[in-house]
Amino acid sequence: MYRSAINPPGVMTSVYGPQPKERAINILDMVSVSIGDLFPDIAERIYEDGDDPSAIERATDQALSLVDMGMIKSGETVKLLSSEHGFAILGGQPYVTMLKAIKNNIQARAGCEDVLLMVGAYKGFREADEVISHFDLKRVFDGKVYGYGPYDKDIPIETEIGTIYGIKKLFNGDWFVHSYYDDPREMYYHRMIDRAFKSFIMSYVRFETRSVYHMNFGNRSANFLPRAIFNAPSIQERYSFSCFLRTSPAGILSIDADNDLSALNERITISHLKKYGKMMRLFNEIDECIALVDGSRWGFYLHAGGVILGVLMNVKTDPFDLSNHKALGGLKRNKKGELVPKLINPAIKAIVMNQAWPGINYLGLEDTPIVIVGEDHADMWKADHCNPQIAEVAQTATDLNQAMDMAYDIGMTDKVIVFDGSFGHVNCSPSMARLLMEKAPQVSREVDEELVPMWLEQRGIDPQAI
Amino acid sequence: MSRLQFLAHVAENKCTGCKQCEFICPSGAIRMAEKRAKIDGDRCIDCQRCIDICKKENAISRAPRLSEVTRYVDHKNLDPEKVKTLCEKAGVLPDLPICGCSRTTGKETIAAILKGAKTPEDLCAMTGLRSGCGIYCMTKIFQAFEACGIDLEEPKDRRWIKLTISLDDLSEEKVVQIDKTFPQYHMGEDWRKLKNRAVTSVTKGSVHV
Ligand code: SF4
Ligand code: SF4
Repeated sequence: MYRSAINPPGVMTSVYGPQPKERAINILDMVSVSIGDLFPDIAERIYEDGDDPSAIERATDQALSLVDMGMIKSGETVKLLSSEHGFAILGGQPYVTMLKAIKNNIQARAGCEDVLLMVGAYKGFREADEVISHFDLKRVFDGKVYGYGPYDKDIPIETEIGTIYGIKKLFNGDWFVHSYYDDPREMYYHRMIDRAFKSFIMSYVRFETRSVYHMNFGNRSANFLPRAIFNAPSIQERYSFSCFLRTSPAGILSIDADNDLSALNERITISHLKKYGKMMRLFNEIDECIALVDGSRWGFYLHAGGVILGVLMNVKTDPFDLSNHKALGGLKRNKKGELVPKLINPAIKAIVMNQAWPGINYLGLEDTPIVIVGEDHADMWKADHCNPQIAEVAQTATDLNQAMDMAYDIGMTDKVIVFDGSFGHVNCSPSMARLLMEKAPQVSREVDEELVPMWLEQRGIDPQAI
Repeated sequence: MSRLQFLAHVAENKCTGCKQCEFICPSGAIRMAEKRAKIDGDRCIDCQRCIDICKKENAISRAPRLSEVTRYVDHKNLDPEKVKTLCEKAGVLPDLPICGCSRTTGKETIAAILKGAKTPEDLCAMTGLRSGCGIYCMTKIFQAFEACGIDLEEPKDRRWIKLTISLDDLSEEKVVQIDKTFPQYHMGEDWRKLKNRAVTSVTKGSVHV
């Protein structure tokens, strides 16, 4: 017997996508498997959806008590640099609570009143305003809250490998705080190298710089760029400290703060390899499934047991093994003769989109059957130039029940995994729950005994020392 | 290639002439005339960025085209060797899309420049590049122009900045130094793979996938 499916985090209203008409767990016979049942050794957390966020506030106070803020003087300006996905992790409340607590700590300890929150966007010009209004950030930050995005005015940053371009308004205060999260998203693609630095090459820079990161380096070597930007003199001059929302598949793990970003980065690497490594290898054991995308922002980044759909799409190789230079399994020719990344996990027999925002490219979907729920929703997807292949392959269903019937027929499997933003558990069909529970002990042993030591060594961390 | 069923439409009585949309348009489809935005439907690639950025309610919206149009530049009547050589110089593979969204291939990009694109805006209008996320293909666009011998002049308003820094630009000395300090990046291995690639492959650019 499994537990009943658990309500997922809420969905923010937005111009970028529809509201889900019904969340999957309310109309399908789903169950939930807790991370603690799968892997008892990675079950610790301080917060999961619905908990009292005061635990986050206390954890932030405690983490910041170990940080030097002596460089900040009253009368100076401090910018808290936030990034987009934090506002989506478990509905965003934990991240917002951490940001508030950072501001309060700076004001109390440094006597500095001018603390500005900079709200990062992926690319939309209304994203930041929506976040600011949804979380009432103007009130919380006394009106000192500003959106930013990849098209904003640039500032040249001289790095050891040349000039790149950041976002000017982030780096023109006296100080900035790297107010980030440990980015439990596309771990496959960036190979779990220096996650703590990533926003220095994504959120905090112009779109041309983001392009260079994605297109002009290898999937391992590209990760040098954010470190080079962070180490640039003009950035170091303004850097005060880092404060991170730390996650695990079980939920919010802790708040971690440090003046030394490399030290913080190493703690994240160790934790992610051990914890997300288990979930990733477990997802690799899924032999067949229907991936049900059920509500929030860009579906590719929706979590199930803390792991995003994008990871399930790419787990067929071991992305943490740095001896393999390929992240996406190489290239193949499609029917049109084009070379496309060979990445989609063949275990995914169908994808059902109950609700997600279009606007982000899902590489490699052309061979995967997709069913979209609702005509309006389907129209948005079909007119989305980020995913022309979805227009080519997707079918439309009137409601979720019909979509699932179609997917069962196409996929010939009743194993369903729901990507609905959940941490702490996976909402899924009973057949999927059975499979996950069956495979978990062996995966756990393999990750602990064989993979983690190898992954750590490959990243210059001595497994014996931790 | 991009198939387009919609285009941007300006409600002239609502437009305040603030020029925000002109700045953000990737295809140069927006010009200001009599202090109002005007859309050139032959250039618009339906990226919707103008609609997103406009702060004046309903001043600009998405309207259906009379019939679907395709933005695609055929490379078949061009010298395939020349296209291939220019692709190599640009650091793109002829058959690999330089843009995950519109899936415009390296050879289509080069073909568009050979057939008259003089600016990134022309290139986007002709191929549909940047109709999706608009972000990740940018450096390859610059590299394609560079390979074709076109020295792009950066717009004064900084709507784009010609950034092409790549692994290929790093000196061996620098790569060795990075490798020593941070072996986890496998910088040297990626760099050597790039330098030693066969001529049919990439000479400037990535080994990302
Ligand atoms: S952004 Fe809107 S108001 Fe401003 S010029 Fe364009 S259409 Fe007119
Ligand atoms: S190309 Fe994009 S920004 Fe330009 S007019 Fe068309 S929809 Fe607007």
